[in-house]
Order: sequence, then C-alpha cells, then structure tokens
Amino acid sequence: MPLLPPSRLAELHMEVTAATQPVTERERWFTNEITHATWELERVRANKSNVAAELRLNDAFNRATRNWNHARKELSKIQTARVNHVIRLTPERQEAATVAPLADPARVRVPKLAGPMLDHALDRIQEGSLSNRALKIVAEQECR
Amino acid sequence: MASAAQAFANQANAQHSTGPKTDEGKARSARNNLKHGLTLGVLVLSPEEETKFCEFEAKMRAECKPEGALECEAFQQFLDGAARLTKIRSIVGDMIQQYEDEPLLQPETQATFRQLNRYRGAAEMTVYRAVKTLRDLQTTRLFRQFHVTSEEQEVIPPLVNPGEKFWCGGDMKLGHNDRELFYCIYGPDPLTSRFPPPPPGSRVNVF
Repeated sequence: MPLLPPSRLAELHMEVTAATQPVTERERWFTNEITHATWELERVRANKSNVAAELRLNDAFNRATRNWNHARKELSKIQTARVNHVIRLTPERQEAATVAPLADPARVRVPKLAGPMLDHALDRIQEGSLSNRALKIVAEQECR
Repeated sequence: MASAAQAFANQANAQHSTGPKTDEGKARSARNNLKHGLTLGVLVLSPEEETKFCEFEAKMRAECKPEGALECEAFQQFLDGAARLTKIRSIVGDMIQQYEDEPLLQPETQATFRQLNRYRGAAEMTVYRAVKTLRDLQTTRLFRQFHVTSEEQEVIPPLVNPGEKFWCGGDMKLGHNDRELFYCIYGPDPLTSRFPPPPPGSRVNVF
C-alpha cells in the first residue's frame, strides 16, 4: 500500500494556510492542526482498499475527522473574535480590549431582557407609567 | 541450593540496597523505563523540544495575555495539551520514517497506535476545553471592564458575567442617569441590590 510522500504534508500545509490565512500564532497553531488532520485523512483514503486494516483505518478516520472539525470550528471562532475586535468596538475600546485578545466582543453586548426584570418592565408598561424614551429602550431590548 | 547461612547473608545484604532514598533519586529511577512520557503528569521534553516549546510558549503568552490565576491555569492546560500533541506527532513521524509502508497498516504498530490514539484524544480534549475556558474568562473580564462600574465590581463576584443574564449595558453606553433610568424601568438588579432604585423625585429629572 502506498505511503504518501512527506512532501505532501508541506503541500497540504501551504494549501490549508492559503485557505485559512492565519495571522496570529494561535491561528497558525490551529491551521497546523487542520493540516495534520487533513494529511491523516488523505493517508486513510489512500489505503481504503485494504480490508484487513479496516478497523484501524476507521479509527484513524474518525479521530482525524473529529480533530479537523474541532480545529476548523476553533479557528473560525478565533478569527471571528479578531475581526469583531475591529468592527464592533470603537477605537478607544479596541485599545482597552487588547488586554483580553481572546474575548469575543460580539458576546459583550446588551443581553436579552429576561426573568424578573422583564416582568417588572411589562408591569410598568401596563400601568402606563413609562415615558416614551423608556418604552423605546424596552422595545429595543425586546427586538434583540 | 543456598545454605541457611547464605540465605541469611543474602537477606542481610539486601537491606543495604533498598533502592533510591532521596526524592531526586526516586524521581530518576521512576524514569528508568521511560518510553514516551505521555502518561506523566508533567511532560518530559528533550532539550531540542524544550527550546522550541519555550519559543512557542513565549509567543502564545504574548498573544493570549492571560491574567489572573484562572486564565493562567487555562493557558497552562492549553500549553500542556499542545505539547503532548506535538510529542505524539513526532512519535508518528518517527514511525513513518521507520517504515517504508504506511505505518497505520503494520500489524506490529497496532498496539502503539491504539495507545497513541487514546493519549491524542485526551490531549485534544484538553486543548479545546482550555481554549474555550480562556475565551469565556476573557469575555467575562472584558464585559466587566466595559459595563460594570468599580462599585458594582465589589459586589458582583468576578466569575459572574452579568451580560449573560439581565444586565443592561453594551451598546447603550449607560451613564449615571441612564443607570437610574434602567432601575426605574426594570427594578433593582438582584445582583446589585446594594444599590436601590433612585427615589421617586429623581425620576422626573431622568425622564
């Protein structure tokens, strides 16, 4: 059965890097994970006709698929967080947010109103005791 | 067969060689049969690997900027998992060089691969879990920095992310008056009940 040439790993690394365009060290690390998982998947596919080793190949395939998906998802989250730092934050906040580079600013936003506070707000609306400005704020909260 | 005297002498001599006594000696002898070290609590790296890994650690630390005991621990767990994955990869790389054929198909490598798969699964889980934890902790930290005043930070424990529940902050850019306004609308926040809603008189100014 064929063994993929080691040069194929380097080729794959270039292909995956081109597809993911990592910028930071942690993005590069997960790109590397994706590369190795892809390489393992290719090795399994190249030997799929070997019935005697089917169980071992299945194991390797499942594990590599799982790692590929995990790494892809993680890389996606990291890149999304990086972009969100730029597009969701004002320049001053971008500066302040450099202390928490992994934080996703998309999650640092007004939460949906829920629980006792929502009940309280609805009661006040029924009473008619809220100003227009307050009603607008509640409506905005409800839309989220 | 040994005589009684010989057996006695043997037993007496054996008392003089009961293995290492110091902690250092015990640690050294525990590594006598070290194969890959993946089962050790603290991974043992060769000097080459150590150098590379230190560089990697320095770069990652500069990028991730973990702060506080929890973030540092999550970061360490990430590093540990990453080091184990690198080690496993280098073991597989050696096997690929050793065999001309695909090592996955060699019957003699079956047991090794099974074992490596187990370690790899655990290491991957450690890495992904640690990254998620670190991200959650930093997100909470950022939220508190942006939306929780220093007075409220004294009341709200550090692991609480009020944004996930019912806090009103974020894009609304709450000022002091706005915060009073929210108290008027939504009632006092249970987490910050130390700060009661403003007296009725002040509502006129706010609205």
